[in-house]
Amino acid sequence: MNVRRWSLTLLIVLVAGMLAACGGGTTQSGATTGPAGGETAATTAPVAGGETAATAPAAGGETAAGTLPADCSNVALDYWNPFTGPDGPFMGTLTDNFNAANPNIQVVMTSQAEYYTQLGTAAASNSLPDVAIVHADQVATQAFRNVLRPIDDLVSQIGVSESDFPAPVWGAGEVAGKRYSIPLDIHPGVLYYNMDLLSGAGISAAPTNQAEFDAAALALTAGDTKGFLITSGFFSAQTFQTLLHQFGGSEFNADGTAASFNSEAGVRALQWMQDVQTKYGEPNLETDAEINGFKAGGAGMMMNGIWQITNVTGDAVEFQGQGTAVPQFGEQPAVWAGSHQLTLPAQSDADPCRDAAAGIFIKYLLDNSIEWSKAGQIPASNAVRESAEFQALQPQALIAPSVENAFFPPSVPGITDALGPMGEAVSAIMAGTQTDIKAALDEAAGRSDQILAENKTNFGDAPAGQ
Amino acid sequence: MATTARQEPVATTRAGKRRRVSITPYLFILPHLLVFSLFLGWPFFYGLYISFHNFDYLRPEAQRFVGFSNYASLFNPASVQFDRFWSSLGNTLQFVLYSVPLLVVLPLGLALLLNTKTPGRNIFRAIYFAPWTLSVAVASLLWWWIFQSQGGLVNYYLDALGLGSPRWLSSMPWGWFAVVIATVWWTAGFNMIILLAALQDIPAYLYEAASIDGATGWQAFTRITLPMLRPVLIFIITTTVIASFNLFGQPFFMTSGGQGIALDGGPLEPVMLQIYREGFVRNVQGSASAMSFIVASLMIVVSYLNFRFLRQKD
Repeated sequence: MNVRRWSLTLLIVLVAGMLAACGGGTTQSGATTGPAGGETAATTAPVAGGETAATAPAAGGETAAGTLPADCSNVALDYWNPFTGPDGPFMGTLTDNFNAANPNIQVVMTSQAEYYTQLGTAAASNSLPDVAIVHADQVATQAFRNVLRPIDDLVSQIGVSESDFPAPVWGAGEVAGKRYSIPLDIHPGVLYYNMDLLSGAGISAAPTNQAEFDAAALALTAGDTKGFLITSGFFSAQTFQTLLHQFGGSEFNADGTAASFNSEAGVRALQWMQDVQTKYGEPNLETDAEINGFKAGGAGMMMNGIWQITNVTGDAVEFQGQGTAVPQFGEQPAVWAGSHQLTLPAQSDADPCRDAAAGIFIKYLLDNSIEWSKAGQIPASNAVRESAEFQALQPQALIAPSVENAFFPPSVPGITDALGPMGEAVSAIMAGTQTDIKAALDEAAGRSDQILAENKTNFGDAPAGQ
Repeated sequence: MATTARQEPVATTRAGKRRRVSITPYLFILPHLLVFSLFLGWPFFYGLYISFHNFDYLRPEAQRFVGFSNYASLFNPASVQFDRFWSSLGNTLQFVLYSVPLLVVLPLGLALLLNTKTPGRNIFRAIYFAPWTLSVAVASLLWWWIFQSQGGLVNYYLDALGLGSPRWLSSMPWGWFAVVIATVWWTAGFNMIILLAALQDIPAYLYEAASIDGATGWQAFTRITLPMLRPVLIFIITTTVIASFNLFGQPFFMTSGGQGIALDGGPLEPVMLQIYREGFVRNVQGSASAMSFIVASLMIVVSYLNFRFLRQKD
């Protein structure tokens, strides 16, 4: 009887514990990824991307920054983003600061994974947020799917223009002749290195070209330590794209109607990656294995997104972990970059008050993107990048010049689908399941072309009704 | 002789029988019928409708009827969907083949062990059942950590023993080992509990009679236990096969969101993940719907065969 009672109590405690753990907003545990071809903030530690609850709005009208039209009372805005990684809390702080400075506009932020599925289902139930972050390579797709609406008016209203941003990242927001998004940040690929291991091998500075890179990687590949880790999963496609552009190629032709990543530059790029894996790395690593290996101190260098900065450098690691711009291995300087763009999702009942409030919030984010850059992002705004405060932020300031050489895919709907086969070919070669690089890339380009053609018939030339 | 609870005065004198149809049973199943119709019935028929169209729920202006074209391109080797669909379906079928026997034999073994009078068997029962209470994300994440190639629990010990570090999550066939082990750990408890309940239903006198007749333990198992378990085994095998066909979470989470070997067309991509990608990443829901119907038809055939081969031969 005692055992019975004891096990019953234990059961109740367990169940109560489980139910308590089930509380909370949209939390995400474990590694997260966006759709194939899009970028992700892959994490190694579970991070809860929660909501930033709105603080109680003060009674009555005056705002510290930006003014709502006179006939607008307190406004509550929904703001969605996919920042479930280590960078999420930084955006939360920025949102809290805005809420504190603007008592009559309160913004509720929600970070979630499977982001585009969430946006799609919200669009279907007409419950899209007021402001949403969209990756640069998804803007065209979301615009054509009626998830976003044109913001040409808003742009002139808040006073931003082409000259405020680098040309490629501004261009990513233009779809079918209309503007759908404003760039918030650019997050390029970065070379992370273990300074302790490098100096132990007698190297005092991070490599900036192929020769220095080879020297460093070779010196570091000894015993259990590897000079450079690269995986067959995420970020291998982005590394391929970086090298492809550096060797003079590109993924698609200019108007996005044909795949061109199976060119000679592409074969060279994938060959480079395969060689580096054989000489300095471990074969066939899974996604995030290079991050785990680097954090454990067993790797000299690795390439990943700048968003990993708070995860693999500074206080996060026991050794001296640092990041620098991706070296120029090829003839041209180029680096893969993603960009988070600010958009206004479609609303069935657009309210001028909410639109005005959203404009004020967007302007605030742009002007204060220095706060966001502490998460490891590089502000898209030229003014913020050139400011003294940003220049003092390392290593972001050191990496910032490389965003001038960032490239983005054509603003064509469904372009990330067409990047899918390319990623699969890269994965197969890096994992060793395919060995003929040219054949793999050719076959992938064929499938990519098919997808591009299907998308063209499917989507047409302009979003419907706009 | 009279055994009826109440004597109806009219019943004995009437010529014909009076049948009273009660609507009470129907009222009991009505709530479930409503839920079933709303969440299973209607989506089924709407999905069939969608599979005959070029469909994107966010672009109703682009919707058009295409007849069997979505199904045809799944059988046309030249289309992009052909390779992806059939390779992912092959992966799922492989998984069914690897996991179902394990998920029937192992729980049966555990249930037989727990059906004895060993002390602490309730604790063991709780331990074996506990993983089933976890969600797929939690269970997959646990095993993601354990199977990490650089510093995961398994490879840490394998390395220490000098046995190398297999790429559990980025190469085949190790990927299957990882997914099957994680799945068996996670769901064996459920089958075990059901088999345990069924075992406890087998009358003890059958075993007593058998031991009097001099039957060995093995003979008692094959001649008494298995035949008595037959209906429950049909149920277990059918539900396990269906659950295995629905494989999605484990390979998805254990490859960090469908990366590497679980990428499009990869060797660890299950058909459900392919359907999800077709419908929600490529946004061609008509084609995804057609894929779902083909998989559903296959599952119906497999379930039917399961019933036919295992049912009681009366």
